[in-house]
Amino acid sequence: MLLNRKTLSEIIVSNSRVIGFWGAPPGRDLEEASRRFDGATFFDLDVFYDAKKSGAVPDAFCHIIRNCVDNAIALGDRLHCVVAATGPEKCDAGRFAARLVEEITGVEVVVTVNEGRKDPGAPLLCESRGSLKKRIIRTMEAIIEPLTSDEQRRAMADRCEPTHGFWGTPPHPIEVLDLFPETTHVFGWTRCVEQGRPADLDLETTVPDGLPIVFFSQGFCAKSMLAKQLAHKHRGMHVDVHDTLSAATMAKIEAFIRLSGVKT
Amino acid sequence: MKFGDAGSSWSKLFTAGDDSVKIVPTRELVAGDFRFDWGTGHTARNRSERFENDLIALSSGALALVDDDDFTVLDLGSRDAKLVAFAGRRPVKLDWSVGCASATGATLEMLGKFYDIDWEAIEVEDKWTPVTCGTYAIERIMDQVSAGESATRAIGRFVHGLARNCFDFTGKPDKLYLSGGFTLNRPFVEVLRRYTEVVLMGRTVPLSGLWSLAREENPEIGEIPKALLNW
Repeated sequence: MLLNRKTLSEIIVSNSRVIGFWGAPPGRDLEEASRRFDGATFFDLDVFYDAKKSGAVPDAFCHIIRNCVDNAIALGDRLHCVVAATGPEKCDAGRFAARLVEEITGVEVVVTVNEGRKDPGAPLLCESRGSLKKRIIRTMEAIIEPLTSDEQRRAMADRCEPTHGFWGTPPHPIEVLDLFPETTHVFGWTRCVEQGRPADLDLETTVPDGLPIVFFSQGFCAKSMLAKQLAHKHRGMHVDVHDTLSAATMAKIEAFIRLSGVKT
Repeated sequence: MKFGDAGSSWSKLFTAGDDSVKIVPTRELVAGDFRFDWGTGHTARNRSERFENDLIALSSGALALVDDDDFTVLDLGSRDAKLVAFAGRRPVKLDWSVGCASATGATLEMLGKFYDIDWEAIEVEDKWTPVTCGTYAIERIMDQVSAGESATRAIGRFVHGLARNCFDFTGKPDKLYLSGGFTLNRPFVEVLRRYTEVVLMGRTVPLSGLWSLAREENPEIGEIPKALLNW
């Protein structure tokens, strides 16, 4: 399976068609879609591509879900189908979005539920040193293109002691992650995805004591209740971001990181 | 070495070796060619060799000046409110209400000028005006005054509402360290003390924070100067 790394506009103007997906659908459903459409590439609809606002989703709504819906509508017949995560590994909004996209676009939506693998895999990228943004993006890409042996070896060799933690889903805007040092470990849903258990609530809510962690939630996401409680319990900082990263939020994260880091 | 905390309305300037802090309207700073070695406050961003965001400067100053393990600091100035709460001297709450500016110092200054208010004459009552939005609160004051209420009393209720908001915003601590221009507003401080113990820290906590950060890099500059410890 291959990920399509073109932009939304590039795909729209091209003659190619892609398989859209959101969340972390089970590998077997993704492979099945790949087989049915002769190895067509996959396009991650969660990502912000500045798609035209469809107006299908209310303004006061999770930006990630809005990305999924607006991207799918913008792509229209450039989509072979959408493989949609709709179970507890995503959220109710994933289920609703699947219905909405099917109705509006007429494109086939494959409704999936990811129960997760029996034993969790190793959190390689989540615990290695390096750009947090790059590691989280690669974690999401690995849903379609798993880490190569070389990447796995490198991640293990680069494993570091954490100075900070980031808990949550990949954020919108993704630039939030540029504020974190390279020694930031990843927790929450993103870690669950790397470990192959995106619906594992116990794993999602497990964080080490004593580590300064930013608990991120996307505005209007139900996970904000987890983020708030975990931040309180572990003396971390809860940050809720909707459309844009304000100067105040940026300052809060910078200050938290600067003032509470474990010096290495 | 020059330090600057350039707020929305007022800028606090300090040069190492001086015996006092200079406070100038920020519009003068914008018009002039002031430069800082260490700066904070959004107007200082492009005028500083080293810039620290407002929350870092405030937090560093608070940690340098307060010995408590667990404490809460609120900086309330012209435009916005900034909050840092520490537990075990680690920040557990950082907040900055940069979005809604209506209910803070600039509004009160404007109201004071508009109604020609003597702040010392303001009496704090048990009643307050809800300050869910400063613009609505101003409308309420104008309604009250046009209905025959004295501006002094109407503004006193507004100040009371503002103090209640601040108390809620800070998480209702038993003790609150107050920084910023509002430390000079007697009615505000008086009414805030109805809700919690208030320790006044003056307007130079962010400058003290900048000094502490500079000292981390160059210990030779020594302890925070007395001029910055004006509380």
